[in-house]
Amino acid sequence: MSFLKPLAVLLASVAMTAAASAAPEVGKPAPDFSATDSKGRTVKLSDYRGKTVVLEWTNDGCPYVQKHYSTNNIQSLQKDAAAKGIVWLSVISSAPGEQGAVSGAEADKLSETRGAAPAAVLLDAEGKVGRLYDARTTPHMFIVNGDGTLVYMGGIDDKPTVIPSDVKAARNYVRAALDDLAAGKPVATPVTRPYGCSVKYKHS
Amino acid sequence: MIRWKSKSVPGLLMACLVLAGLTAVEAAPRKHVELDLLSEQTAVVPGQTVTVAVRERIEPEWHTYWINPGDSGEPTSIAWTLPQGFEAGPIQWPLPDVIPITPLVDYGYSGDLLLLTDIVVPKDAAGDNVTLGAKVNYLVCKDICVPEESEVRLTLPVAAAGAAAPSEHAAAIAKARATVPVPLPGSASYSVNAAKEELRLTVSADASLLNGTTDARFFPLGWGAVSNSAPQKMALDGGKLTLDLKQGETKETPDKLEGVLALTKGGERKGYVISAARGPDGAALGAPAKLAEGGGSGDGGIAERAAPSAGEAVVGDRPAADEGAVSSVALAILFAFLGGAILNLMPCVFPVLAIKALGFAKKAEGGHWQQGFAYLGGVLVCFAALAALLAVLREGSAAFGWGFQFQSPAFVLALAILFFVMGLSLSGVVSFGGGLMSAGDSLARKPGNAGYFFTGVLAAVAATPCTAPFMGAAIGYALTQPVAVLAAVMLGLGIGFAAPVVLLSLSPGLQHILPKPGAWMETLKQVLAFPLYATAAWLVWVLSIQTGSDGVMAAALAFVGVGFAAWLAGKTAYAPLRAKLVAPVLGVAAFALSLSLAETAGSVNMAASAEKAALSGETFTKARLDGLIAEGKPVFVNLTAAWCITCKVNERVALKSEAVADAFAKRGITYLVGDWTSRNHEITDLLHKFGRAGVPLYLFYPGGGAEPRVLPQLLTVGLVLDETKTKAKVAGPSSNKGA
Repeated sequence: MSFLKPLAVLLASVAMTAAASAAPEVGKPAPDFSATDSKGRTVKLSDYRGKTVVLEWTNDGCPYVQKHYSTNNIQSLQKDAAAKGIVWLSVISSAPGEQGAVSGAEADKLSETRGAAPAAVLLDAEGKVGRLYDARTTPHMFIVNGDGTLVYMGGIDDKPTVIPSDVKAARNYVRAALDDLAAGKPVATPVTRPYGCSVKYKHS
Repeated sequence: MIRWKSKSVPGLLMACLVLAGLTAVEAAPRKHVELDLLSEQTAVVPGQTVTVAVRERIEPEWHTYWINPGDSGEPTSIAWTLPQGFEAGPIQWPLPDVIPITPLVDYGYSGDLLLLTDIVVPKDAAGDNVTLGAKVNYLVCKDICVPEESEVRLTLPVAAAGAAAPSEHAAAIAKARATVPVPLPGSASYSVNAAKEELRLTVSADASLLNGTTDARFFPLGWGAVSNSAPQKMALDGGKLTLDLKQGETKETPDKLEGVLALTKGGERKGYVISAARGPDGAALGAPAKLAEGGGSGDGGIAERAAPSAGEAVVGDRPAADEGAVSSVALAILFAFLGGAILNLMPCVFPVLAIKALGFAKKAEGGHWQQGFAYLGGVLVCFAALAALLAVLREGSAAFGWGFQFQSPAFVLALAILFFVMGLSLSGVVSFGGGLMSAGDSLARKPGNAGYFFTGVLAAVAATPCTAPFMGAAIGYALTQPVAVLAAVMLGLGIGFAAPVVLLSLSPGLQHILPKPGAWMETLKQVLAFPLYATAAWLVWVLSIQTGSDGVMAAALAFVGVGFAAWLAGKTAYAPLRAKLVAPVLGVAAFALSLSLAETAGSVNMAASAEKAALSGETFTKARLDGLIAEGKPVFVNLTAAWCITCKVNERVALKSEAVADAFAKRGITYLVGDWTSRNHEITDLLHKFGRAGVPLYLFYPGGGAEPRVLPQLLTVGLVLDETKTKAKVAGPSSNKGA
């Protein structure tokens, strides 16, 4: 029965093909995760089903992050998001001893001094959430819609510089994506280049 | 002195202030790069070009970035302040280094870097001296990143031609120029394997250029199309070098993949600018995700600032086909042709062939070639339609994951029923397409070439019931190929299929070698039903693994229902239309009901088996594996997924057997199960390490620091027992890091 083998090969190869991709993809379910926040609470992405979730990779020592905090860009995005019931999660994937690594108390203090208003700051010292999302830079932004589908990944805007005055002139992809979602439209620009410092992952 | 010391300008006060506020007050920030501006000549000459260099002397262990910085970072940018009429060209970027920052990869430079720029001096340049100024912005990183900005200036005398001599930096600048990539003396193209998200870059050049290459690396000019961090696998074959790349996050396949190819030969790296046109299979891709403006390849934001100037000459513009791919495609087409010719022996086709042969023979010798080609046209139209259907199916299913359809129990059952029904058809219980065939028959009776055209159509359509399973392999291969190859294979089948008639039309005498149609055809047809039943049986077995006994029951009921409907169809063949409809409705109902039963049974079983898998092995983590390896203990790693049929079959057949469990216990083997049903980075890493894109992967680490063994993808108990023989001596911590 010579045709059994091709069939089996076809089935098996198709099964493997489906498994080929591992990085998160826009339009596909966002990988679920469970992480501890600055207050010691366990935060699961799937707990926010029904709400839009913004993931922001951050590192307070990174000049690109500083550009967006010094200009109040991120804080105002966070506040607008909170007002609309959008969950904003800041994620710190810096390994202990690396730039940006903070304790829970330090993270809260940082939010206070900067006037930041994330729903939670996730401490991802092992880099698990970061690697799950293939987060590369700070900032690196992801948006998950209420169905748990990844609808945006990439940069915060289109000016990959550390120059604060660029923030105003830049096209803010995150704000545009959130506006699209609020209007019930698909995100017009769902994948962009993330820019910034590298995420300071634990060396493996 | 031609160069002036750089004039420091404190950069980014804002950032520093924030930093200072957060951490203890640091000493005044010291620059990590020393900058100056050098000229190749001692003077500028009106109407000529002078090469200048911004020299970055980068602190040890720190680096700055290439025009495409890779996964993070920002390239150096230069804003020139030049006298009236002077014009600066783009930065001539030297070949960058790969800077791994696990798990990311950046592209950049360390040590001393000369960024060359050609400056055109106007004919009417006046005065004794000119001052060239450059404001240089760059990001410099080690573990942390610091943006810095410096202004450098250089004053040169204006001299008549001949009065300008090489400066003291001429040698350094010439050396730097040699590191700037040059256009590749050859051609480049790339092809896409959409299913595996892989790109294959093929470079054709003189063998003397490529021979002896020990390492090759492609640096994409733009972002998004190519993964920076994925390993690039090189293969070298005479005048051809291939490099397998992984697609980047946009999954975009630009018309041209632009970048720099670095070849290492005898310890020396040399860069070549390439612009690889998308090969014929590039068309196989679905619509790419939308991109940000300037976010794709040839990233506008960066290209605006500077383009690699030496690389302006675009090479390999024409779509140079991948020769290796071509030969394998040619082979596939040849097989398709032979297969198509063999299809003529099928009982659904052979009578048509015999009748046509007779027709040719009756008439005068020769002169039938037009009819032969009309027949060929009819056949090809059908196969082209089938190719188009397959292409649409594949494109459509790729959009929502073909694989998951195949893992759906309903899909497997549908396939089983299809084979069962085709078997019934060959057994003569039911006949399909009777109306279609008779319509085709009347068309085929038309006189002249039109008749032959429709005979061709008829032959192809009529052949389907008894040839489909035999075409399975060809279709299976074609489905994994780009649209162009798929079409070529299907048309190859068609040409092979039509070949006998075409041959007969050219030379009617050949008909004597044909066997006479007769009862043997009916017998052959009936015999061929049994492989189809066997296939259906095998698919039910696959289903039983997916769904357990409930799914098997659903399948059995479906077979009964379909059998009943087929019988009823025969009974009501001459009944009024309303009665006639009962049978197909019943058949479809049985079909649909059984599919939904199978799907439900499947979901229940998946949940149960997932639980079971967790009980029978330890959950894989990298830390656990590394720990066991360090202790020198033997480990068996099974990377699996709930939707992977092969994995489930292997587990059922081999891994869950008592013999294997006993052996593992006796040999002290730890059984680690990595479930890749949901994404898991550690499992992905391990798969990549062994060059795999997906599960299953079976690894056996014999312990004591020995290299891991990769087991085949189809396991048997005997094979597992043989492969896991180990002395299982506990050794000291090994240097083998394993995964």
